Amino acid sequence: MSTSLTRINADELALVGAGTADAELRALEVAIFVEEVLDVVLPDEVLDARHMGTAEAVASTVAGVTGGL
Amino acid sequence: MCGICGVLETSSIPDAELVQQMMGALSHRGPDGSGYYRDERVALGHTRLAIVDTGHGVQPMSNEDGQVWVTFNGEIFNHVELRAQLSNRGHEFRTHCDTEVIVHAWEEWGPAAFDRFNGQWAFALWDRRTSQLVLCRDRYGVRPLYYTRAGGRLLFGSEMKALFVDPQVTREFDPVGLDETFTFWSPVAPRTPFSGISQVPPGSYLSVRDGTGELVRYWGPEFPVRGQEDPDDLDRHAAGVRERLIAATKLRFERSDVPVGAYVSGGLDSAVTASIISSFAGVQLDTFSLRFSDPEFDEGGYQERLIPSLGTNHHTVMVTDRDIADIFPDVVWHAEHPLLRTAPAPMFLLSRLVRESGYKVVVTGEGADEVLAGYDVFRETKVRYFQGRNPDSARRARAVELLYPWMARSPNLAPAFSRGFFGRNLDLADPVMSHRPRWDTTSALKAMLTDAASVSGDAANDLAQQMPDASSTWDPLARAQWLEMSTLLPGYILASQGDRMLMANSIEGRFPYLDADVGAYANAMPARHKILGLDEKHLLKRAFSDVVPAEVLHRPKQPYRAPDASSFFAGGAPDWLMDVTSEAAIGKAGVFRAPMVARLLEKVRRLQGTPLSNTDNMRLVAVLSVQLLQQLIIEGGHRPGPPPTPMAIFDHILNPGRS
Repeated sequence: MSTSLTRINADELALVGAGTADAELRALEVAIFVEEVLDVVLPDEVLDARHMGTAEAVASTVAGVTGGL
Repeated sequence: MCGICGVLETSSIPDAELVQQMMGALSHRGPDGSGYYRDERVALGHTRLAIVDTGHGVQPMSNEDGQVWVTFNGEIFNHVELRAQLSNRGHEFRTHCDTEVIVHAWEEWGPAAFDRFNGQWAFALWDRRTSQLVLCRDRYGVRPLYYTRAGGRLLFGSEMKALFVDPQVTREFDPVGLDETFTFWSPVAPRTPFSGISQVPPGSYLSVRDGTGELVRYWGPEFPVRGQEDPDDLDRHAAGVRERLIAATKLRFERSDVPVGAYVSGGLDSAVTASIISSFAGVQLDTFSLRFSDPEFDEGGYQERLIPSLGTNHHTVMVTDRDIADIFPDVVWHAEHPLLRTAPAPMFLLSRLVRESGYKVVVTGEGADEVLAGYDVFRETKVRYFQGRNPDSARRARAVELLYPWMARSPNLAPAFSRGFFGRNLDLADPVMSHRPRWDTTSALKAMLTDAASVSGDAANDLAQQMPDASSTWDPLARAQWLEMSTLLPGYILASQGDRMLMANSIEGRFPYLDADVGAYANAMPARHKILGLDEKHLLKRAFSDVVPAEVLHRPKQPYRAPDASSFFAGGAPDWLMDVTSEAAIGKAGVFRAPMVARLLEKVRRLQGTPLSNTDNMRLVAVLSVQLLQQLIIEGGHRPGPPPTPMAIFDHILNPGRS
C-alpha cells in the first residue's frame, strides 16, 4: 500500500466485499469503504471494478484523487 | 425481576388499599411474594420474583436507620463490587441482595450512584431525610417505569395497568403518543400511548421534592467525533469485544441464586451468548427456541445446526398461526401499547415454555443489533449516504443492489423501486436521514386515523430536535444507532416484545449486549469496524468465529418476524376479532375511520390473510391492537387480584414504632 493510503488498512480493504460476486457491485462496496475511511467523495468515473477491483487499483485511484483528480 | 408501584401524596396519608390493588395488578411480575411500605407521605409497593438471596430480600427495603427506602425491579449486576466499596466506607448490610446496595449507594453518592450501577433496573427510592422521591431507570430502558398525577397524588408503577387501578386516573389515548407509534413503532419517552401517563426515559430519573418534579438525564448514548474514534485495529477491537462480552455474559449467568437458561433463536447474537455460557457453565445448560409451523418464519434449521455444538438440553415451542390469534388479546393486555406486528406473541409463548420448564431467568441476545450495528437500516444508511453524496449519479444508485441480495424480491430484480425507496430524502444535512424511508412507510398508517386521533406535528422532525448537539460531529452510523437506541430499542424491542412478554410469565431476561462496559467500548470504535464495508456486526463475527458454527456465523441476516394477517384469517377469524372490529367498537374507540377499517377487513378476508403488503399487515395489526387496548384497558373490566403472598408490611401509620 502506498504511503498516500496509510489511513486505509490493507487487511480491512481485503475483506470488503468478499462475499459479493458481481465485480462492479463489489467495486461500489469498496468505494463506500474508501469514502468512509478517507472522508472523500470519489468521482463517478472511478466507481467501477477497474479502479476499485484490487488493492493496487484502489491505491492508484486514491493517489489520483488526493492529488486532485 | 419484580413489579414496583407506589403513591406520593401531597396533603393526605397514602391509601394502603390502593397500593395493594396496584401490587395486585403486578402479580405476574412477582408471584413469589409482595410487600409495601407506608408513612405519612409515601407508599411503596413491591411484588417479588425471588432470584438473588431468595431467602431474604423482602422489599421494600431500607438502610440501617430506616430513613431511606427502596422498591426495586431488576438487577445491579456489579452489586458485589459495590458492596465491598460501601462496606469499606462503613455501611452495614443485612442481606446479600443487590437491593440493599441501592439504598447505601444513594446515601454515599446520591444520584452519582447511578453511573456506578451496571445492570437493568427501575426503582423508586424514598429519602425521608429530605422528603425526596426518586424514580430511576437503567441506561437503555430494559426495565419499565411509568407515572402519572391524579387526584393530588403521584402514582408510579412498572406497568400502566397498576396506575389505572386508581379510578381518578384518566383512561384515554394520547393522539401524540399514537402519532409517534405510527412513526417509530412506539412513543418516545417520556410519552406513552395514553394521555397523562408518562414514563421515566431510559438513563434518567425523576426527582420529586416539595411537590415539584424534575426529570434528569444521567446517561445517554455517546459517540466520538468522526475521525477521533479509538485507533486500535480490527483484531484488537474484536479481542476487546470478546473479552467484554464474555465478562458481561458470565456476570449475568453467575449472579443468580436460581438456575439461568438461554434463548437460542438460530441467529448469531444468541448463538454467541449461549456458546459463552456453555463454555464455562460447568452444568448442563437449558436452551429455549421458537419454531414456526410456517417455514417462511422458521429458523429451526439453524437451531439444529447450533444445538449439537452447544451440547445443551434444548426445548422448543412450535407456533402456529392460530396460536398467535388465540393469544393476541393477552399479548396486547401485557404489552399495553399498540402493536404493528404480531412478533411479540410468539415471545409470550416462548417465555411460557421457560416458566413451564422450571426457570425464572434467561440470557438473550437483545441489544446486539443496536450496539454492534446489525440492523439492515444501518447498512441502508451507508448506502444512502454514498448515494446522497451525488444523487444524480447512476453508478452510486446501483449501490442499493448490494442490499438484501438473498431476498426473493431483491433490488436486483426491482432496481427502479429500490432506488426510489432508498433514494428518497437524500439530504446529508438531515440528522435523521437514515430512518426517513422506514418512518415514511410506517406513517402510511396515519391515513386511517380519525381527525380526533390525528395531530398536525411532525414526529420525525421533533425527534431530530432532541438529538444531542454533538451528534452532528458523529459518523452517520453513530447517529443511526442513537436513533435506534432512543426509539425502537426501549419502546418496542425491550418493552412490548421484551420485558412485557417475559414478565407475562414471570421470567427475567438478561441482556449481555446491553452491559455498560460493552456499550461504552463499542460506541468508541470507528463505524467501519462495526460494519466493514456492508458486513453487519463484523466485529462480533470476527470475535467469536471459533465458537459459532460457520453456517450460523455467515448466514444472511434474517430479522425476527412472525405471521401477521394470516394469523387472524387463514384458519377463520377468532371470536374476539369480530367484537373489537365491529362498526360500533371502532366508533367508540374513535381512533380509526370505520369505513377504512371495513375496507381493510374485507380485503384481508378476501385474500385469506395472504399475500398482503407490508403496509396492510401493519394496518391490520395496528387496528386490532388499538381496539383491544380500548376494550381491555380504556373500558376496563379487568379487576386485579390480591397481591401475592406472603406479604411483608412496613406500615408506619398502622405500626408507628416499626421501622
